[in-house]
Amino acid sequence: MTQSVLIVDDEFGLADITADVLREAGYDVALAINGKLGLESLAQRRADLVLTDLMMPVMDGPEMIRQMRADPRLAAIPAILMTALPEAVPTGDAGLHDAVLVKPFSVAEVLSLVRQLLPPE
Amino acid sequence: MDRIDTGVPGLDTVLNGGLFKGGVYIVEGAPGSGKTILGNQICFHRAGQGDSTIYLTLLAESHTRMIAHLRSMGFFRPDLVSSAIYYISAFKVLEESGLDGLLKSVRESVHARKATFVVLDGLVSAEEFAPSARAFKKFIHEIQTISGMTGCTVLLLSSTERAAGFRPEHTMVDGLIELGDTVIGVQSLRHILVRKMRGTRQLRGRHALEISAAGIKIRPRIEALLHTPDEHDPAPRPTGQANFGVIGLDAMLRGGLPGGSNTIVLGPSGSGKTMLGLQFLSAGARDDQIGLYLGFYERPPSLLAKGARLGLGLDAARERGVLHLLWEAPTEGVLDAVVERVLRAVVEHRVTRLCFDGLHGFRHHAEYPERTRAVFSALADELTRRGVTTLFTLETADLVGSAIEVPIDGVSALADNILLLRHVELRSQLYRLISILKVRDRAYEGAIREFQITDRGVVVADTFDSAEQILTGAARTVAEPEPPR
Repeated sequence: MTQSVLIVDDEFGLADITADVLREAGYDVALAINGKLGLESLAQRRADLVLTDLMMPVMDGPEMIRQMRADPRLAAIPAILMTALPEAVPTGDAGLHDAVLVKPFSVAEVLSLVRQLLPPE
Repeated sequence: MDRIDTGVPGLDTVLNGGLFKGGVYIVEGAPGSGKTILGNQICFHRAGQGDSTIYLTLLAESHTRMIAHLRSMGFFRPDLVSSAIYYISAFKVLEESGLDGLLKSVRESVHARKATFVVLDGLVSAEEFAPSARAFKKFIHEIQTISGMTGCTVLLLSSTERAAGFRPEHTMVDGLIELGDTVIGVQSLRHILVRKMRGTRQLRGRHALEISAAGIKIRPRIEALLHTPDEHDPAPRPTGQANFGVIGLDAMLRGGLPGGSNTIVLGPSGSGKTMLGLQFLSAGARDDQIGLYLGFYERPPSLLAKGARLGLGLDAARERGVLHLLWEAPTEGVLDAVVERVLRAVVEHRVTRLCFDGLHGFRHHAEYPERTRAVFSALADELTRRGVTTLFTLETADLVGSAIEVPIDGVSALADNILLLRHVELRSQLYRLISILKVRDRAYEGAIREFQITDRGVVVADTFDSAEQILTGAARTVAEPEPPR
């Protein structure tokens, strides 16, 4: 079965390109523009990995992952926080996210990290 | 109404105290004029003051790239981005849900972050998505409502690529700030112009805007910033006399220059203007009067060497802290920056004597040469108010001869005193002459005297006899052998 990735980012330029890269690599990709819409997407369609931006309107990335971890159906989904401001990543929530991807990132970096957290079946 | 400071050097001065808390301001400018840096710089400053701030972009461009550039700026503080500055993009919201969706996003973000300062970057995008001019005006009104209800101050950054001139939203907001980049000759100059500022008297007109690694700095136009003299000002109180320590010259001046006055020393290149200025500072230093020299051409080491050759004791005066030397490159620069530097040094060192060596060099810094007279007037008045006795040297064009052409219009009329140095050629020999053209409200000797630069400093002849001989040629004729009968 095709592995699926949810990308959550209010900046759609980068999100669109990242989605194209992952689609070309064989992943099924969905997009959302904030954490709240990301959770709504997860309620409707399966995702094997979540890439989420840190700062977004309505609901930010850390809050979305927090709510995923509190939901038994979503708790095990690995999550990557993407940000241009790594110093703004919360340090208090140990184990909340699985990796941080610092923007700007290369195609190789994002593919390498996704493959690391989502080994081919 | 409470004010908030922007933390941008010079901007709060131009705004006459900062932005009003809860106000909505439009910042307009062409791409590259500094809007994004300005918005971010204020965000970081406000965050540092304890505000929760949001930087919301409506542009398709990436925050990532913007933040990468900001990292090199002096105001960027990583500790603040984790807690007090929140970068979000609403372009997709705008694209999908229009202005209503954008307003909802702004409202929710301000509420969720308890934001007290918001920058909305890309007002032009909101206008593009507005179905009508009326809908766009309603959007601005709604932003004002949000700021009014929450006390949140909002900056709306807008590109001026669209039609310039009056726009309906200009009438709605509390302030309108324009950033520009003008090419004058081959020089490119950024400026800021506060077109509108409700509830206060901003410093009107254009002010220089500089962008460096530290961020934006505004140089308020000095003539607008300094006290403007008017007819009701009390006459300056005499503060004694400032002598030159040159017997002949002090005698011509009946003791010295009036304390706190300004003097223009006119003369061609090589006539001794700089030497006279150094002599003036040297004489002051001997009486522990603190002096400042500002030059545009000769650098301090060269001046000190020259002073040493003439026995002026400048090195010792500098070591004792009674003489300070400043040097400005006579290349393109900002006039206001030069004046600011001089006035700061005057205050910092408690200067009572100033030699401003090269009003002509000063003019190189004038992006608009017609400003030179106004800036000179403001500076001279400020120095007088501070009790500083000042010599301004000004180079005249003609090297030899009796014609005098003052190269900066109107400056001589503003001067309290004018000294004139001249070269006179007689029988293949050049002589220096000095005369006083004007001393305000004081008697002086109007005669022309010979002026020499010797290894004992400046020497002015005790009487006008030698000058008279030079001018008439008598000095040489008496020395010539009588023709054979």
